[in-house]
Amino acid sequence: MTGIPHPVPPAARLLQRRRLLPRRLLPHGLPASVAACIGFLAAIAFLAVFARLLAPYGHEATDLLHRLRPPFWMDRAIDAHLLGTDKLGRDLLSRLLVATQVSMALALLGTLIGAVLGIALGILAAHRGGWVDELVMMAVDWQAAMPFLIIALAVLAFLGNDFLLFLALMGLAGWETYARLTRGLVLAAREQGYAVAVRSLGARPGRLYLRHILPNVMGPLIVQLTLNFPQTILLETSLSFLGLGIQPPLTSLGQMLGEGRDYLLTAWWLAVIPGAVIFLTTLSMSIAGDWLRSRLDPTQL
Amino acid sequence: MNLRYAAIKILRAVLTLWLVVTFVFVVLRVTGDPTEQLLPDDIDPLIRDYYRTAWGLDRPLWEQYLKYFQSAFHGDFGISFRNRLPAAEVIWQRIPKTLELGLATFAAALAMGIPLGVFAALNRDRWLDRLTMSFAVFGFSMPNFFLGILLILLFALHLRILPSSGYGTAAHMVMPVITLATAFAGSIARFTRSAMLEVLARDYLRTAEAAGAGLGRRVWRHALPNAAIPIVTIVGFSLGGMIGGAVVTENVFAWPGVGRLLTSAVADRDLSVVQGIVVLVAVTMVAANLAVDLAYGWLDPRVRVGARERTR
Amino acid sequence: MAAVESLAVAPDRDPEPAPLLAVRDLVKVYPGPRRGLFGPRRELTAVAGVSFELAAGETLAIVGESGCGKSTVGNLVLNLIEPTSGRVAFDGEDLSATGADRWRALRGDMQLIFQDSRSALDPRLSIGDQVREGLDIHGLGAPAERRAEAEAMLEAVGLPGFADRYPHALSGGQQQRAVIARALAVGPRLVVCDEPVAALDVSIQAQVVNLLTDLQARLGLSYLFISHDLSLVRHVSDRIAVMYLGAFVEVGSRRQIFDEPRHPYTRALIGAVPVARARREPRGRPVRLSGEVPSPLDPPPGCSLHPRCPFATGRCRAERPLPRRQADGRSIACHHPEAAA
Repeated sequence: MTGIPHPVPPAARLLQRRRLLPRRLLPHGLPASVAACIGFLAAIAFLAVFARLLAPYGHEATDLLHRLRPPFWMDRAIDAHLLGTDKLGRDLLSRLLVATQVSMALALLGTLIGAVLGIALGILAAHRGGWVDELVMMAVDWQAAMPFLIIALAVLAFLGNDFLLFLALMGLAGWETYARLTRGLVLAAREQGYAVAVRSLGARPGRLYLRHILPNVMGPLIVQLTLNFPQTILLETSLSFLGLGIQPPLTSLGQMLGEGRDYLLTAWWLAVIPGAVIFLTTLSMSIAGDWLRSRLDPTQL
Repeated sequence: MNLRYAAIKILRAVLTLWLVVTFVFVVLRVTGDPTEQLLPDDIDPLIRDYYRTAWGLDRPLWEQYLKYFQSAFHGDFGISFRNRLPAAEVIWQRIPKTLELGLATFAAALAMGIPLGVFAALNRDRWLDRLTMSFAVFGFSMPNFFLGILLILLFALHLRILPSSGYGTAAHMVMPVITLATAFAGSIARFTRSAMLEVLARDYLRTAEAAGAGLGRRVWRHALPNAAIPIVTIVGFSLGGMIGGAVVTENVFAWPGVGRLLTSAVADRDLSVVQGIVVLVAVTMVAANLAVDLAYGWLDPRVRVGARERTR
Repeated sequence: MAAVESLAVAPDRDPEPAPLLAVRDLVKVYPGPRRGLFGPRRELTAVAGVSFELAAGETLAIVGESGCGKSTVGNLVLNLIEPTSGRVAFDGEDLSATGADRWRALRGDMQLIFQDSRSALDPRLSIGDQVREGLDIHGLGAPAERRAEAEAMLEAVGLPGFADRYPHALSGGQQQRAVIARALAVGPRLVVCDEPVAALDVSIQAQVVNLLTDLQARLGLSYLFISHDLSLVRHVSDRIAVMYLGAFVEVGSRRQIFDEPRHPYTRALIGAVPVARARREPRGRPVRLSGEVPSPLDPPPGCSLHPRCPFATGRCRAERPLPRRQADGRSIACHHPEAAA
């Protein structure tokens, strides 16, 4: 699992970009590669949402007479499955669609939980200051000090593998980056004129943060979201690949890869195709996120 | 280097370590009786009783806490289910293998990443730059288990020039190292590139150029030493990811290291081994971060003298 | 509530009802950097004990060079910065022990207009939304009417129909007017104006200042007008407080300060003001100060002006002068106020 941080631009420079997504971000100036990535992501999202409707077969429908069939471009038979079948004769395409749905849903939920948690704690730390700030920052440092995969494995070992627990772990995976980022942005934003003005108008902190500060610092947070999302996907797929994440009968992309690993010699498509989906998704997100960030702060390399 | 700075960093390191061990302790106590969690079911009752007293399970909680710390300090984490050996011993046996992998990966990542980054910086914005940076993005988006599997497919199963898994010869190391190093090479390349670009733009380099110093001399003697600081930082940061990556990579290549031990221990719910590894990783990470912090404190004043002309 | 000593009462008025704002011995000290690793923390005294009163409908100006602490006083009065010590009483109510909730309610009575109008407006909301925000916060008027209220306010400041525009579409002067509209929409009685026109072009400054005085007359506002621009202050204030290194050196009526300055610092400042048409020559010889303003981290002992004052004596070096009321009602903090005459 890759847990390398990206260089984050200083908060003050980011605050000059106020709009949520600057209007000049769109159409012109969109490189073809980035457009392709966004298109791919849209396609994945679509497939994930409508997976069960689009699947030609039930994802659990076994067909032991047609085990380990190759994808259609390698199989001469008329009743070839589009992407082949696995060890139990289950249609790979159908399984792939459902697995994508599960993996994406987990990654999305996990990212959102982490974002909400991190942003809330970041605001709390910036607002209260003092020991609350110290405490939150200590938690952030602590989380950043340990590779999360290890923590997740330990928790799964101690507490068993429950789906909700797994989801909670996905949620906790990246909160510290949001917290640290939000805290910095909020601390800078609080000193801005409008924040002081709204406070002097008599606004309660909740109103100040939710209505004024947060919308104005959303940009970098959204970029962080696009950078964290691939990390969450990788966490889930890594754990599932190791057999310690999503358990059957549920399926996920990582799990499919893990299962397919045993058949590399005979049916390589069982592992390669799900792996390719994971890779292309994380790659697209990284490229799109990078580009988004460069648009928000062109001075950053 | 500021003594106060060093003291604070050391204090934080100790505090973090303490927190991790406490965390493990709490989770253990919450989930059940340690003698059942940390010892095999059919162990000799005498041994079980011994541990019962050693861990102070009939004593108040705070005493157990202290005893736990004591045990952890001595490396006593219980007995592994699998092979009836003390967990610490089992872990200890595996460490050299993981170290081997880690150091080789480190070297490979730096050897790949730094030149790539320097190269990209020197050819800024030309297609070479874009190519190397694309490679970097590819590198850290690629899930390491997928890369590993692709490598096995290609080199072991089709071309048959490398063994698909296991430990033994140098050939066994090639694919695991490439797999693990790729992601970090990418990151290192990016950081090196931005650090180099910043440094290359500085006046004293242009002065050197005007004085007639060749490109090689400028890069080696002037630019690189100053770019060292961010590189040190990114190396420090990478360690955590590398440990996580090692867990998966060792699994893919059946490399008999600590990472593989961890996954099998988790699968078996061999908690004594799991907690031992968690503490080991914590110690490693804390020590590494501390080293980076201290190195930073030492390197920094040297750079700041040069930077003053630029930043003000 | 303890009676607050009245320090600058204009002599030609009848004894008036309790002042709108009464400030006593306001102090703000910031911790500064340490000397070495274990040395004592140095202190930055931004405000070194300031006392004054402001009556309803009056404009009191605080003038001084930048860094003298005048903006800090404005922020302290409104509790946007927490005072180190001192008492602030608004409309007879002692505010030193006021909790956050009461302060929020009080915000409807005291408002702030500050220099940087560009950053004072939230770039993402329309002007109309921002002007009515105060009404929403304090629940003034029926929700349906608030928009009309906001629009009326905008019209009153000379921005008719601007409610749906965004801050970036407005000029500097227009932005400042919008800020004024927002502040006044909640109906405050006291408005602290902290360098309200300093960032504007000179031609626009006059317009905005006229707007402020106009609104004061119409709405019966009291202004605490903070500025470094003496010619501006002459135009708008009833009374003036001259500030140096965190303390008031002289407080008097407009006529007293401009036509008959007594404190050496005031004299130096007034002497430096270019007058287009000298209506009355200031009495006494012009005063020149030597050197520069010392750092507030290391203020001189005794009278803080003594290193630069041509009339300094041994007493000035040793003993800090306290503000004392003079016969004509002004207050001066100097050991030798007659020396400059």
